[in-house]
Formats: sequence, structure tokens, C-alpha cells
Amino acid sequence: MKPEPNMSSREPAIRINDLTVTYEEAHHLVKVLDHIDLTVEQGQICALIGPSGCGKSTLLRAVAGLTHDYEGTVAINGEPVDPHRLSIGFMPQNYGLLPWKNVRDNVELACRIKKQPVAQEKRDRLLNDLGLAGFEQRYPRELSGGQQQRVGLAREFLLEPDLLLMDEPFSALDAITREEMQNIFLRLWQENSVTTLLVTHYVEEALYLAQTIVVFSASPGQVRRVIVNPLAGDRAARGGQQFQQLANQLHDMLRGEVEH
Amino acid sequence: MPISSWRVLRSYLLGAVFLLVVWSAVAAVMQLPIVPQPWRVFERLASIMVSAISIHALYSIWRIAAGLVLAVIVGYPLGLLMGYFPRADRLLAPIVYLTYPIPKIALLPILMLLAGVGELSKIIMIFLIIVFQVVIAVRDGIGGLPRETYYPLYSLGASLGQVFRYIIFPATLPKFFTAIRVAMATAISVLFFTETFGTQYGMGYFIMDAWLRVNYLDMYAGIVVLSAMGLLLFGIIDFFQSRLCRWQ
Repeated sequence: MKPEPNMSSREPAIRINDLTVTYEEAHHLVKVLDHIDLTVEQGQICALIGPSGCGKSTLLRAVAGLTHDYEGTVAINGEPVDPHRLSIGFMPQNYGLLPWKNVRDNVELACRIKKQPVAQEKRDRLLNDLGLAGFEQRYPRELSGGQQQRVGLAREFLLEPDLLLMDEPFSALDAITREEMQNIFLRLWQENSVTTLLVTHYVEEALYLAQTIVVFSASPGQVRRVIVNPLAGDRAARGGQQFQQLANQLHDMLRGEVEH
Repeated sequence: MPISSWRVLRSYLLGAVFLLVVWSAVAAVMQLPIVPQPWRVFERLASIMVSAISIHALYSIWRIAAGLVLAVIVGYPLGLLMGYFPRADRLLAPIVYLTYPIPKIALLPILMLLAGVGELSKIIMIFLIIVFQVVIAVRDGIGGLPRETYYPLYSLGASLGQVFRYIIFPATLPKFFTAIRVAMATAISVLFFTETFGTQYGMGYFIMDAWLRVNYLDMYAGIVVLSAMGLLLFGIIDFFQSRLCRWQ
């Protein structure tokens, strides 16, 4: 047996060094990400925020091990990204449900791929908590956007991945459902504290959820600022004066990036 | 039986009644032996179905089934390869596109020279008609999947087998069934044609033989059986599709 790396608790969950991604598009090279340095500590939520086209989704794909076409290094728990060894939950914008699988099979999918036994009790508890009890046999197209999102979350939290990556997870939902989903997500995260990297373009979402907010500039994507957010997960602070102040600052920062 | 199945059954029965009424009316107006009354055809059908027609029907069904199975065995993996691996597609697409538009019936003389006038050339004919549809349906079924569909599986380190089982196979099924359905109609009519050569069995042989014997009742009975066979095949395909593609 391989000795379990003891240092993993001290290693940051994600460490990105000098990451540069270039695409070839119509015979010339486009730099999408430019010398990105970024660390996310264990059990934290980090939000990437920036104007569209700043390469946030590309960065997420690199961390997920979906692309290796980059310069620089990406390490998870101090080791190179290896989807076979690690379990990385990736939730795309459309929640990543398989239309041909019903709710239960979609929730169990990640565990089945990882060849882990499905903890049935936990699965039922998650479905119950997320208001999906009684929907087990339904197919995704029979569900609302919010329900699909919850199926996606149930899948991730049933697996309890080493790392959870979410690409604009709540942006397709209407404002009220979005807030509700953010609360549900926070509740699940507080129970499991899975290290999470999420991409968003909502300032308020980043402020409400993430301990660390990374502001990107556009084309090529660069890290403009890293903000430690004291208000993360604080429901009472939401909409308060300090929250509003920080939100305004972030808005200004992003507006500056767009005008750049 | 659920209400929707009853509705389907009822609409089919209504369609059949409508066709029979039209047929009967045409027969009454024309008063020619070449257009007999439908009830006389069904009377004849009842008396010769078991003794004379069933063996021909079985031969035809066997040829279609063998051609279909072969086409799936060859076409599905080929479509899979071309859909999932762009490099395989670049290599194989020209070959498929160059051969696909050739009317397969035009190859019949060559096939009969190479494979003989017996069973094999007929089965290969059916195979050739269905296989291209299968290849293209499976390839396009995979090609139409957004890249994102794979991401949650890739990020978990899914094997190729798992990607096939959880994504590719179910995703391509609807297009696959549609392709089989489209190809089946052509396959039946071409089978009819091939069965007029080099065999004494098959619905094509039976119908042409009845015609040459100027036995119009037998001929019509054969045509009714042939169309019933087509209906049965479509019914089987629909059944499997509704069972396996319940998510649609």
C-alpha cells in the first residue's frame, strides 16, 4: 500500500503556478489565460469573477483535468491533476445531468463512475433534504431548472469529491430560485466542507458564498485581485451595509476591466 | 393497456378500414379480375396462409433479420469510431460518402456474380441498404452531443467503456432506431426485387409467381402478407424504441 500523503492537510487544495493557455483560432494564436497564480486552501470556497471571455471556464477545465494543453502547473493536494486517482466533481452550466437517466441514476452516477458503493441512506437523505423525494423516477426534462440543479448538487455531495468545480452553477435560474439554491448549497457545503472552485459573474453570489474572491481581467485573462471575504456564508450580512460596500467595490473593479 | 395504446390501436384499425373501403369501392366500379373484392382476397389468404404462404414469409423475414443483424454488427462500431474519434472520421468519411449514394440495387448483378444467386447475395443486399444508415446515424448522434456532456464523466476519470455505457449508447439510440426504420422500408422493397431471381422462396417469389400464373387472388394475398410483415417490423422497432428511450 502506498503511504497516504500526510502533508495533504497542509498542502493547499489547489495550487496553480504560472498557468498560460493559448488557443489557435483562425490561424492565429489567442492567449486566453496569462501567467495565472492561484491557491485555494483546503475546505474553502473560492469564486472566480470577471468579464466574459476572461478564461474562467478554461481555468476550470484545466483544474478538472479536462485539458492538458497549457503551460505552467496545476496541482491538487500537491500532486498533478489526475482524474483517475482523485475524484473531481465538475458541474457545468447546464448541471451535467444525463437526459436518459432518471433522478436516482443521475444522483448515483458519480459514485458508479468511481466504482464506490452507493450509500443508500445518505442518498435518500440528500434527496429528501433537497426536496427531490418522490421524483426519483423522473427524467431531467420533466424537472424545473431549480430541480435539475438540485439533482446535480445531490450527485456531488453524495460522492463528496476531493474537489468541486462549478461553472456558473446558479446563473440560469431566476433570482428567487438562485438565492434559494445558494442557501441550499451553503448548507450542504457546511456539512461536508468540500473544497470548491466556482465561476460566477454575479458579484453578490461571490460575496455570499466564497471566502476568497479572485477578480479576473479580460483577454488575456489575468488575476487582477484576490480578495479575502469576511462575509462569506453570513446570511445576516447579506444586503447589509458592509456587503453593499464590498459589492460596489467589486462592481467598480469589474466595470474598470470591461472599459479597459 | 394504457389509454394511449388503445388510441394508437384504434387509429390503426380506422386506417385499415378506410383502405379496405376504398379498395372495395374501386373493385366494385372496375369489375375486373385484376382488382378483386378484398373479402375474396382475405378468404383466399385464410385458406392458403399456413399451407402455401407461411414458408415464403419466413424466408423473407429471415433474410431481413440476417441483413439487419449484420448491418448493426458492422455499422454500429464503425459509426462509433467515426463519431468519437475525429481522426477516424477524417479517414473514413470520404469512403462512406463516396459509396453511400450508389443505388445498392445497381450492385445486384455484381453481387450475384460474386456471392451467387442464392441466400448470400440477398442478405448482403439488405445489409448494404441498412449499414450506411446505421453508420451515419450513430456518427451524427455522437457528433451532435455537446462536449460538456462528457465533462462530468471525464473529470471523474471515467473509462472509455463507462463513457460508452453512460453516454454514447443511450444518446445514439433514438437516431439509431430512426435509421433502422427508414432503411427498413427500402430494404423490404429491394428484398422483393431480389427475390424474383434465383430462389423459389420468399414473398417476392410468391407474388411474382402468382402473377405469372394469372392467379390474382394469390397475388393479392401475398401483397397483404408483405404489408403486414412491414407493419410487424415497424411495430417491433417502435416497441423497442419506446422501451429503451423512455426518457424522450
